[in-house]
Amino acid sequence: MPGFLPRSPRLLALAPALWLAGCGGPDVIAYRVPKEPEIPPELASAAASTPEAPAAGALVWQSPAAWEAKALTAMRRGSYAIRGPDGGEADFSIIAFPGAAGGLLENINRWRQQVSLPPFSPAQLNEHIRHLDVGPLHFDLVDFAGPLDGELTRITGAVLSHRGESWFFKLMGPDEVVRAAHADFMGLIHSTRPRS
Amino acid sequence: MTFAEIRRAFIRFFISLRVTIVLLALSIVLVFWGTLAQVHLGIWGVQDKFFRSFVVLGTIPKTDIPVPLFPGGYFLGGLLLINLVASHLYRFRFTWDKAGIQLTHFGLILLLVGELVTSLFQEEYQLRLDENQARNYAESFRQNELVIIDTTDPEWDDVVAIPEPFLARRRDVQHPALPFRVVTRYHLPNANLGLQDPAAPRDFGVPNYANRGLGPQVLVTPLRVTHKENERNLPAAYVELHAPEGPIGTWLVSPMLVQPQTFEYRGRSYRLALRFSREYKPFSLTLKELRHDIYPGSNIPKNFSSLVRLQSADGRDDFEALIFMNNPLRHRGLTYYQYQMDSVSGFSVLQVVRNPGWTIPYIACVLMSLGLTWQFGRHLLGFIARRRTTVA
Repeated sequence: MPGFLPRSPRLLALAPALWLAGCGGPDVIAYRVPKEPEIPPELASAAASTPEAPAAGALVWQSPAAWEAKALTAMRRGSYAIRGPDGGEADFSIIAFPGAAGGLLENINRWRQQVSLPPFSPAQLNEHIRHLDVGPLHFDLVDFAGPLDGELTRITGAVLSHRGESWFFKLMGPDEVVRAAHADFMGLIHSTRPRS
Repeated sequence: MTFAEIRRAFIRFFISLRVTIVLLALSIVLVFWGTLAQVHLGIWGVQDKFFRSFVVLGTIPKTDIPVPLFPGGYFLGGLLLINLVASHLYRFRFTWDKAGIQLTHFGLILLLVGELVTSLFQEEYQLRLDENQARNYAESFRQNELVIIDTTDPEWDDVVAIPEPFLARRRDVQHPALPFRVVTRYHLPNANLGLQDPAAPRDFGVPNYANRGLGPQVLVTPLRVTHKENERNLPAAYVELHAPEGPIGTWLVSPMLVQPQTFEYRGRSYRLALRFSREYKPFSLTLKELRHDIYPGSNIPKNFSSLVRLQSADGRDDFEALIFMNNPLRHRGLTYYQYQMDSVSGFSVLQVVRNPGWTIPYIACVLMSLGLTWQFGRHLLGFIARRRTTVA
């Protein structure tokens, strides 16, 4: 196409310059802001140093009087020790994790692995799992026992998806202690509700 | 070649009708290609790659080496703009016969300028508010930032915000406000987080570099980058902080980790997080009440509304406003639309938009309509007049 291109190829040198002018994105910035007046609930729960904090994030629950509250960690929204009559001790934890946290099957099988049980297939999980609705909350409940270090160890657990987080309520310990605490466990589950 | 010759070569090139035709043809190809690519890239990906770029870049197969494939929207649009303006300055002379064409062209110039203004200056954020919660910032729909916050002061937070592209390119950051260097060990543009089982093999997920914070307990698995309009990527990164005396530690950061990760260094308290990029404003909004009305006897939504209170930091503004469908709140160049709502959980999400060029396309369309009407009308009247003369 004669006459189409500029006669001097030097003019084309402008093209990359034009291109480079458009490059560059946001830069690192520093600024000062007042502290947020209200700590988000997720932060409040993890920042709580007192073990008796009843509300932890987006959910609240009523813990059984006999359960002894333990110190919270960054991952645990609730943490309790349950002592059996024969000196055995079970652990109850409430952990919230963003998203699906790997999915229900993977997490239940992780629990089964912890008590030396083989993993569930998806069909086996469907057969085993029980469903419970407490107000607007839907819980998936599991209960199984396996031999751990020669001792029958039971896990009674509930999994809940709420506001983009997966919540794991897990009671784990010697079989007889967990069985004895089952009613208290269900009482806690029934008392769970969204933070108002 | 003298300066005058260079100038003439420039002018000759930019007023060329052939250039116009070639640019229009290339634009048609670009639009067609971009439309097809939208299937895989989505609207945002296509806009960034094809239309808001000077060059459409691809990569050499099986590598990350970029290669230019085609001129991008900025390049073609920019040259078209120069071409149109130059042609008007050097080629066209005003006459009433051609006024319509010139007005139409002027509308087209405005349309191109309007798109440029929109792409350069439009801001689009979301503001999520729980009931009775006040916020003076909105969050980006798509951009993320690593923040390292000095929380030592009881009233103020000193924030250093590092845009995610720095992490993606693994660029070290040494900022004067930080007594340490920020080094990205690993970055994933989209990832899922799961609880790490100490007994489980690590044959899936990425290597766990974290030795501080929540990271050691978390399993990170890569996810395919999404370009869908109703999804967003949730990146993850392992970030190491280097002090002059050696590494302080490595943390996993992700917008999915809402729990705070804190540490102490030289007597000061810090918090770090990868979060949705924030845009702070000199005023705050408080969600006073949200309503989700349905038609009686059905679940069909009738109305979503958020009653908010706006308070400026200087105390000049303090008023309440009801935001509902087609009734946004406009304040200081920003428009707040009702976007999402969950009345059960008690939160509302507002879309926050600033587009200083939003009127330009309307003005451009009016000018082009007037120009075309003038041009065709004048021709029609001339034709009718000639016909009458012939008949008579």
